[in-house]
Amino acid sequence: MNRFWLGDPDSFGLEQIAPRDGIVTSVAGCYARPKGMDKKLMFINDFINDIGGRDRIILLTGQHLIYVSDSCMPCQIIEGRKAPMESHSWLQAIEAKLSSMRNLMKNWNGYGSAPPNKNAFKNADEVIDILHQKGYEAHQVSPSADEGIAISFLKGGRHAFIECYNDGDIAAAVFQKQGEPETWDCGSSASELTETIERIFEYLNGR
Amino acid sequence: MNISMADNYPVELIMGERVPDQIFSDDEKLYIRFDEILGEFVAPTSLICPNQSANRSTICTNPEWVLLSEVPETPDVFKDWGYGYVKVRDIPTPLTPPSLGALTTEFKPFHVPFLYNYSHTEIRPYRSGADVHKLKSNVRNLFKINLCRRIIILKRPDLPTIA
Repeated sequence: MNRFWLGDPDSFGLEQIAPRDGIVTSVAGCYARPKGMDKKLMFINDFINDIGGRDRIILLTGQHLIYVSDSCMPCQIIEGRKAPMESHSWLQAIEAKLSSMRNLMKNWNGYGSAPPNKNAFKNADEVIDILHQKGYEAHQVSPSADEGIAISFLKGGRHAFIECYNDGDIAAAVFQKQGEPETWDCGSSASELTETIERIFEYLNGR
Repeated sequence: MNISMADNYPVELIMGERVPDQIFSDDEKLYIRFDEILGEFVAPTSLICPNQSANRSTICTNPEWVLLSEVPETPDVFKDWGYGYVKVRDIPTPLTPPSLGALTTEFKPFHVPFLYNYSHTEIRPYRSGADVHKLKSNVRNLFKINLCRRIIILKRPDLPTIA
């Protein structure tokens, strides 16, 4: 599942430029809009068709992010949310890192590890979405040597990570320089991931 | 491996006719490469459990050699990675996570020579003296965290991060 950052849809009918996996893709469009159809929906609908129809899209419109998941019909906007401008660079950096991970080959670390697969990307996307909704930021996102995607956190001397494994499992841990680490398995539902994220940030904040 | 790579490759690492040697001293260093740091530690998620690979220092006499790829087409692919070592005596073992009751997992180095890396060693888990091939994620993560806290970093990775 890829994500694409787009320009302002208010320029509907003009050429749109979208960075696609680091490559600038020009999406020409002067799409016919059926009478009465919202032009924003029409734009998304046509863009999804242009790129194959199954990828997730994040539409950046000023300070609002709108995304369309591949699990819904292309013309349905399933969520709109306020995105503070200062967080865009964090989210974009995460997206770029995730995108680069899609090019990893088997044995990318020389120790035989498989690259992240669709299970890992799906669950990592879910974790990142929840982080964003909560206004939290990760320190790093990287391929896991244990095969999957690792999302790491750091505050002062407190460390944490969530690993989304290729087999669909998710685990988390928190630790400091000294003392016994805490490790636990997470479920993959939104509520279970939210609980894990809250637990991690309570730990990072010393509570 | 092609001839041109062999020309530049450390002869110490070429297995030749040598056989595995399972005798490790407590002071022997196990060199490990990694691609990520978290704070002051090697990122636990850049480590593998079970069977973390390493180069043993009695054979790999230059720590930098742990960055050598054994793939002839990409000999320098790990040149920007970091590396460090853990002494055999500092391998975190035994581990008894509370969630597993009294079940204890031990970790020991096991010499697994490759044709072009005679020093190659794996840190393997055992229970009651027998090999363990699969571990629960909480044991794996407990091992990785305890290992990362004991690795002495010799070179930090020079790779792009988002932090």
